[in-house]
Amino acid sequence: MILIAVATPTEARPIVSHFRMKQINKAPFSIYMSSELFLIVTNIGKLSCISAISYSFGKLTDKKILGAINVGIAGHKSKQINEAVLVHKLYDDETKKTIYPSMAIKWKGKTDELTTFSKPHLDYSIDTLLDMEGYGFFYACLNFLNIDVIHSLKIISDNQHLPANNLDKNRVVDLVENNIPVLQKLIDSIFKINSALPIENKIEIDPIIENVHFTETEKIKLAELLEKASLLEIGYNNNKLLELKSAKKILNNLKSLIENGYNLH
Amino acid sequence: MDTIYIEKSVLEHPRTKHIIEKHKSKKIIPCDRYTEIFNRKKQSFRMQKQNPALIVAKKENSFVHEIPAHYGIGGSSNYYFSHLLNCPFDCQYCFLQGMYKSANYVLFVNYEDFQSEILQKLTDNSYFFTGYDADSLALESTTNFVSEFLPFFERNPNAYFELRTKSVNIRSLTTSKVVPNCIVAYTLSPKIVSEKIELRSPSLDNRLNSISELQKMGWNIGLRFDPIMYVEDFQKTYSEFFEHVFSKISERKLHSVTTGSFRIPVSLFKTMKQNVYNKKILAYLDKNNSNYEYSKKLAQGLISFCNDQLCKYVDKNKVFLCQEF
Repeated sequence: MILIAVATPTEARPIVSHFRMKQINKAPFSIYMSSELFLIVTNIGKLSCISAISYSFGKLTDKKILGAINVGIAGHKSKQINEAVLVHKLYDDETKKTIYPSMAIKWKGKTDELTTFSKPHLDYSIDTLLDMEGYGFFYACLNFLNIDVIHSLKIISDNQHLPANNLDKNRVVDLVENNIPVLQKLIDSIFKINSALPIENKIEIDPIIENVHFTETEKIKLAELLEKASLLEIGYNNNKLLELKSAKKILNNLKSLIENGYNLH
Repeated sequence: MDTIYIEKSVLEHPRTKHIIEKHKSKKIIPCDRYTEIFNRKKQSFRMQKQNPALIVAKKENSFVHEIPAHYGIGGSSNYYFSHLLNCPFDCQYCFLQGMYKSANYVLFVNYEDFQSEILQKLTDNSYFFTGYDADSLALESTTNFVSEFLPFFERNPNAYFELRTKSVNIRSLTTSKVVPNCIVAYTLSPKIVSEKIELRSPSLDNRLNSISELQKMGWNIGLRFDPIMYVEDFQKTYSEFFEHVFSKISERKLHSVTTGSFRIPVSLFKTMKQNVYNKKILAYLDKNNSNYEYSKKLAQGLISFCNDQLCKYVDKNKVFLCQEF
């Protein structure tokens, strides 16, 4: 599942509609879900965004979260309205701290720096994307995810020629809707990069430890030996192991099986 | 490689400018220190391995490190240095999977500082090894490392310079005059190991072709059979492998051969296990003091067999075991 964070209901609307998401929560944050996506409306501002992200991960304890995307409108001094830009560097105006998102996903689109302000910043004096949530979003997500699956996608809504005071809700909906294909590509990239991870070996030790007493250290050793036996395709029989009736004998038996399972020739 | 981060302090460095010129289509992102990107927590080595970025940086200290004598090949003193961190190949036995949080490449462009420290440590018959934290040749078109260090070692003929590699990117050597105190040392494994474990690396035969070409020019060649990997039908596999290698390579023109069985430092094992696809190769290893390694009996058996086989083809005085038992 991928977490999507947007600041306002207006920015959420075209995403919810396109991905056919259903509302599952109204307060303290509006939340929408589909089979693959979890969208939260964080409200405007860094602190609200941090709260919303923490709330999301609290809600999603039974799901595997593969990545997180902050989508939203942003201003820029000179970029074209409607352009979608992936953030490659975040700077927080309040704390003066910097985060560099990972560029491990293969991304052909535009990228730029983002400065997050605590208050609306409308003078377009600096040559970066401008918003009020991005840094907070990353800061919060890094408590739960690795940096390679966290991204911020900003859609240029205003610039020095067309400032934000000219922005209306319908315009915002159009801007987000026009860039749904870009968002889809980003979602696909995050799913794809997750598929590169090695498959974890799940080893079941319960059938043995339910019937024979093992200390915590012995349980760890048992799991290691069963994993080794599995990887080396060395057969063992749980019932025969249980007949040994002691943790020490079971562990020694497994060690012998493994050592005898391969030889120099 | 789509992205290049560059420390602001080296943005105007000539080597950086060469890299920017060569990679005009890539995203260039200035940063303050490479550690902001390379050393941060909460990274996935395995995810980044799909599309590593390059980080261009300046190394500030600790340029050259001494290595234990048993890793040497006859030198009076032995050192290694790393101008580059991480490698484009994806060998499943590689300790880099456990060593670094990030799979991004870090290139230190202040080669002169490395050379200054080498000069301070250089004595007669000292050896300087490269290719431990990276492949020495694979990224040469970006790094120009070989092109810049060959003349340096040519000016210092009393020391040896080893380039450890699996790469067939040998143009910087075939277009250079032979430097007598340079050893081009190839890591070689049987075909089945190369195909299943040394992912994204040149095939055994392509490496052998490169070695053959370099030998004909007169370059000193080292063969590094390290790590020796336990495989089923080990004796048959490795005896046929050595026969094949020495059918392509002249023993007379070999500088040295080293062997060592698969081993991983304990401190790197847990992280490496999370990043490895082929977990079976780790399942053969047991924890023994500072390393995860084959049982002493198995390791000694593997090494002994390989050494016996190698002595059919190579003068035993050229064969070195780079492992402590």
